[in-house]
Amino acid sequence: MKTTASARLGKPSKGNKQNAPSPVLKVLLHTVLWGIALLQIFPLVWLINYSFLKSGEFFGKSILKWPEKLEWTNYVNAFTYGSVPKFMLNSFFITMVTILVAAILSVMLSYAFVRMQWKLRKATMALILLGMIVPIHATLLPNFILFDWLHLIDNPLSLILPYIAFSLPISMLIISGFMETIPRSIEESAVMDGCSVFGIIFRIILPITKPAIATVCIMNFISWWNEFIMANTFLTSETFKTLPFSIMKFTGQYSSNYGAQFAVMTLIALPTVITYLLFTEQMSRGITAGAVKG
Amino acid sequence: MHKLLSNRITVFWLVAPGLFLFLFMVCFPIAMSGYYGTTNWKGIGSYEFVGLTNYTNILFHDAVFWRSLWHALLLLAATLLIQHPIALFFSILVMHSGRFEKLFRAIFFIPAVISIVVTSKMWVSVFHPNYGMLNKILDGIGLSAWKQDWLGDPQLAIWSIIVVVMWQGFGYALLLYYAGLQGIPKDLYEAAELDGAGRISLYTKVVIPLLTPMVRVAVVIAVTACLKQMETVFLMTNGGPVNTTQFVGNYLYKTAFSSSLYGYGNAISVVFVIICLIITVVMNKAFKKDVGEF
Amino acid sequence: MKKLLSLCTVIILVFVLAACGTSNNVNKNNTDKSTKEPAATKEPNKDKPAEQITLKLFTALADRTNGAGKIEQAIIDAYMADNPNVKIEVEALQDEPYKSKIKVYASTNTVPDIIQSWGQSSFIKPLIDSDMLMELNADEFTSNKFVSGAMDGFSQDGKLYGLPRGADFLVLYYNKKIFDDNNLQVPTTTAELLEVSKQLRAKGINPIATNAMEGWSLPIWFEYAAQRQTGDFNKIDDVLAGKSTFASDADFLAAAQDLLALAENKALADGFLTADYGTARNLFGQGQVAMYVMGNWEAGLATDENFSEEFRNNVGAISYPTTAKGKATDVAAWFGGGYSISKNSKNQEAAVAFLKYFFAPDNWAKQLWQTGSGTPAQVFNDFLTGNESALQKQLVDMFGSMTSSSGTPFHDNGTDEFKTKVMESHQKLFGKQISAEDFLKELDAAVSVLRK
Repeated sequence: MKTTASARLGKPSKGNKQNAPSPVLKVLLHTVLWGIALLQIFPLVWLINYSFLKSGEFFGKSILKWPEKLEWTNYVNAFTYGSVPKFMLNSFFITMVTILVAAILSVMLSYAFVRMQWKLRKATMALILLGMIVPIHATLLPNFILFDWLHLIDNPLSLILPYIAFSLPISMLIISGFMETIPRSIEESAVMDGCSVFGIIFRIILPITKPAIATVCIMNFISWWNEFIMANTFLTSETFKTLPFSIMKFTGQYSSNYGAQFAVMTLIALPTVITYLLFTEQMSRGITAGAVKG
Repeated sequence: MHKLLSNRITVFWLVAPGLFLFLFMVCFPIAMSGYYGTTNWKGIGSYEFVGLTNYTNILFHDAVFWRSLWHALLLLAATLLIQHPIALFFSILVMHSGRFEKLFRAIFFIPAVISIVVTSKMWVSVFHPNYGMLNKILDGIGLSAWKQDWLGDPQLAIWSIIVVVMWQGFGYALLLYYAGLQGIPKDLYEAAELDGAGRISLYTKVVIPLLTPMVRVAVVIAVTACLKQMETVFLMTNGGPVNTTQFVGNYLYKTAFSSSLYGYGNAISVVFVIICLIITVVMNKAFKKDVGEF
Repeated sequence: MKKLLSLCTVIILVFVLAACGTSNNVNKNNTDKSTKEPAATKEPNKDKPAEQITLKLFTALADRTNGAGKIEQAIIDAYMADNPNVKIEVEALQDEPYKSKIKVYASTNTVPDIIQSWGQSSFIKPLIDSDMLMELNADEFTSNKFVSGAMDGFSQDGKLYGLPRGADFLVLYYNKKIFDDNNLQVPTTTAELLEVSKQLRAKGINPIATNAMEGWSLPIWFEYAAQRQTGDFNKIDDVLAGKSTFASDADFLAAAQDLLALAENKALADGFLTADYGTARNLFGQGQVAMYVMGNWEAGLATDENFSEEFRNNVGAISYPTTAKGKATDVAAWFGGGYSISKNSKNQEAAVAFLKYFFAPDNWAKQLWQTGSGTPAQVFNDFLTGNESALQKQLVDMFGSMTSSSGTPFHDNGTDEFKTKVMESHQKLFGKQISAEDFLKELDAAVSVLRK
């Protein structure tokens, strides 16, 4: 920890008076940061606050309200009728498979594009990168017909396959961009030692590209965790339904019960936030470690 | 080394899985869309071929389509001119915030990990003219005259949507720049300090130019995200009031599913994909000129 | 229209009977049915005792804990308890997502076994034309006592493709407390409506809400406004039939101007155009707006425990305010949603058996009526309890005294493209984005889409 801190850029080394921030500047810096932080986090606070209030209080005069009595029934309702745990498990399963497979495939693709020499390299890469600008909604109905032919409707694969496919372009862009910055000398010495291409990728490239992979995984996690239009279209029974859809369904079914709606939204928001908070440590370590390169 | 890296079989195994999935889930459905785009299919029953009528109607007679595209450009402009400079600035601030560094980074990113379904519902409540938090706050600080029907006013609605999208994407942009800053070798800072460069010129002259590759990634992500914007609008206003917050993704969904003009909707998505292609090609050309490598 | 009038006669009859209290006749009817019905429903059980059947039911009654959706679910649960070999999987979405998704199902030929359908050409015609719905035998459902004419919307070329759940009409709900507190009278004429709205606004109260974001209540509202000017619901049908146009009729212009006047005088609640169904209903139920334009199926407002008791005791309903030409007994009414069975269903018999059970008088009609969740499209005179809420009585009075009705809402009398165009032009009018003249021109342009 200490070593990383001193190695961190921007931290003025001791004794360099010229660059040491003045106390006024420091206070100003923190005020601004806290102000924006509050703006970013306030809606979450608001959400949690109203999940403990009665429905009618939502229409009151105050912005936040200290609950006289915590309305746990909101949460009981959310759990019993919203099937939150089940949907959450589905979401985790589908998202995890997607980001893992997408990460591996994009590392393989990136390596082939950045390091290998072959005829259609540039054309193929351009084709996949163009996928980045294809709106997923444009493929919604053709894909439904496609899955219908393949009998994949109401099967988690009907989400996982397009999710992975649509993750590839951006993941590849980021990972290959990072790979370009890795000096070839490391690989050359590995080849001397008799490593195969796959050996190079998994033993040498993969550890070095970790920070980029982490970024990619997070980005994919967020976009697919949030995706609900495909989930709503391709999954018909409740067996595999994912979380975002459950909120839509819940708000339809409890449209007058604001308290329970806020409870279910909190239940859906909090786990991702907590997961992220746990994951962010790993990620930042990965980034600082990878920053040695560059 | 060279032999190993041009082995066709290795290339095939690296590229095939990803490429096949991509062709199957992205390109093939678009081809299907192109086919349906030449029909007058209403989603149900038989259909006739109408040639290129749908396409010419979109290009020359569909004001809503062009308006949707214009909204995407507005969003893009706001993202690039407002969100990104702030995100870059704050990523630098966050790095200087000492022991709170991790905390701030985490808080700023939180909105991005919350499901769009939740944040959209939340912002709809915040913007609501009767019981919304925003109008309550304006009341509270004596600015009642500033109260607005944020999402109902045709002139304001699009800006309210843009604020929400920027709010949610802020942490995202910040993370990218932050990762980019971490990738800059620390000896550069030291060298700059030895030169006696000030803190501001250190950033403007040394750090930010070195961030160019990350800026490229961030801009590409912003462009695609803005063009593809759909979920937030779908959930907050569904393009209303009267298409004043319409985006192409939502418009084609609405055309296909609400108006049952499935053939026309598919034609929209094809035109849309082509326009996105053009923008991307132009963007890539522009970037190739000034990407610095290190 | 005739159908609805005949339904009215039935309703009036109902009241005569109800006034007589529990006569012997009524009791007899009751016992007759209760012995017949259970026998009929157990048939599938006997035929195939071992076979496990799963029926998929796709419904637009999204709220499973209130009103009609709760009853639908209760009947489904009861049926599954009686018939352990039948499992009914319910998928419920709100109207608009429902209609989108049914198209996805239809385009891939995977329509669920039982679907909610509407006896309106915009919805049911494409499904019938592409041979997706199973033809039903009307004779099988005689014991369910559907009101005559109720099935017409679900029929095409003399064949029956669906069964109606209820009769719908648009009313103006009001919160009496708000009117009393401000010394205002509930409006009875269109002029009073405007005046009262201005006064409510002056006191900082939001006058009227409806679900303008989805938009389907607006054209029906316009039908009212137009009828109050023309004195005849059929005028709109004439336009749709190509006999005249909207823009050429001064009465339509006056109607559009009436609505525009409401918008310009801020009679429409803040956030009017962005309020979806749930939001509008909550605004009214939580006492935030004084009036609420919605269908009779919201009779459950008076019993919904999410709202305060004060509200529940004060909610009332009237027909749309009148003019010299349009009376309160001229009501925008139509037969609403119902059910159809998919032609591709592998369990058609089981689906029919379920619908028979569902529409058994003791089930849907009775429960819907007695919980105040709507007006069934079946004879329900046996089920009047005398304990109906005040709101329910008002609604039934209104329905019973109806002298003319609009029939199918006019935006539903065509293709979906027509429907979208009509709803959008209404949103523009209510949003003050176009003049009354341009609004009528846009409607005419929408009608021309039908002629293509």
